[in-house]
Amino acid sequence: MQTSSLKKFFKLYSKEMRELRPEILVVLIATLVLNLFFYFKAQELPAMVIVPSMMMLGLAGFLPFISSFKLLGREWNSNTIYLLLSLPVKGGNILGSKLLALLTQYLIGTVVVTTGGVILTFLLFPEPGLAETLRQVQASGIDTRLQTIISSGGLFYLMSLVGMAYIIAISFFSQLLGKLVTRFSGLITAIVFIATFWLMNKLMTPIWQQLGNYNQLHMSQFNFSIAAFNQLVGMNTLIMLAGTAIVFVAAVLVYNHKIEL
Amino acid sequence: MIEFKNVSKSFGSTVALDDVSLVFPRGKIIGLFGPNGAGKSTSIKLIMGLNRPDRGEIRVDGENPQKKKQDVAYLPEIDHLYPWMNIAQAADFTRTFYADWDEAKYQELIKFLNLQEDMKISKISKGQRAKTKLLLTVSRRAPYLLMDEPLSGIDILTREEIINTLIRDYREGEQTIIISTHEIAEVESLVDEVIFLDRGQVKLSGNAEDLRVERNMSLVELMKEAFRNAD
Repeated sequence: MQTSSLKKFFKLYSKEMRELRPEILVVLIATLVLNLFFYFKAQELPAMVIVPSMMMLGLAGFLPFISSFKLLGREWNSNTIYLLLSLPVKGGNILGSKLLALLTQYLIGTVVVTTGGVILTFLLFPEPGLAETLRQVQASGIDTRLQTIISSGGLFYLMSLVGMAYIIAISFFSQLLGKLVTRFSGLITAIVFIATFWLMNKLMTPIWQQLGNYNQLHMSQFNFSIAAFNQLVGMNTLIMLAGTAIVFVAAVLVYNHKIEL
Repeated sequence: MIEFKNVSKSFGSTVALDDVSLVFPRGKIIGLFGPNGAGKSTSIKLIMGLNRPDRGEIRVDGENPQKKKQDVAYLPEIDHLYPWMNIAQAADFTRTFYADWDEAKYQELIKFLNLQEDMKISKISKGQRAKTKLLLTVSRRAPYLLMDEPLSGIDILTREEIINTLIRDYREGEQTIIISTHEIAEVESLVDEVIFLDRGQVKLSGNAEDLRVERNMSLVELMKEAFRNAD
């Protein structure tokens, strides 16, 4: 029976998620332990609530990047690349499933850490303390409506997600180029990673500069608009998405046409 | 039919195949014999599309090997299965990608090979891993079956089981099996055609029975003579 391409992709994705299970568990357990520790220890100093959240957010954001090297490199180390390359699927599916799994890892990690931070904040700042703080923030001119927080926060989060995809795509591309040589593979990977990052930044900088000019025209500290701010974040996200697509396609081409065993 | 047309392949300064032209006829069991470094594994990997020739071309039923992966079942010498999977998970993974997966055959073979679905690949013996690889490869009704050193490092009883499985499930005239090995004695009775490779070149090839009758020698003796003369 012929299996659909989507089912094949999902099978590859499930395999990658199984490979990432230990890292995801590390973030979940560390968040729980650290939040509990701060809940019991920081009762006298509630401002400390920011510490575990920031620490764990750093870990949750950084781990998928580290995992990207593990996920691809392990295929060679454990010889499972023989299985992957003999499958009747193209590099787009193989690398795409890995990318999606790493983004899922990022999503799970950051959502868990943020949720843990919010719960800890509510526990350490019981009403009316938090409401009072929000009122003070609003009085200083910052828009604290839920709708604004969700739209701007959501866009910002989307930009971070695309940023992660961008870094992972560069990681895949540099690793695959590193695999084309038998000696100094790690060194080549590191050099290609830095070079690609630099080159892509060079390509995107003129667009970012245009965006900066637009930003100065429409937004200043005297003329701050949430809509213009959201537009700026959205444009940045789109530019990064285009960069991600370019590097990812390059990685897929290397996988399809250059990788040999 | 698989065709090699003036195929050359090098890895750095090592020549693996040197201007080789070959035809692997359809529906036969073909033995690819030769000592270590003869170019057997490279030939198999080229057919599977895991390597690309530096010069010349390879055709599987007239097409590029990269486009024929669906029709080729591959059993590499090394352990290539995910160690955290058990046999059932590995089978489930494999069956997703191949339309020619035969579930009834898989169920029958797992019993025949004395394997259990809950056996974890990282925990089983080398012989059981070899049998698992065979199980996953032979459970497909693929037109081409490529086996790279399937008997290497396997005890005599497991070798027998592997060979019996091949004999039992071979579809004569319909399926092409290419076995690369230097354990010629074990597969001598199995092969229809033989190709002897040495240092990337074809030393001798032909119908196994014709060669045996013509030279009044077993394939093992033939290989010994061919390679002794080469030195």
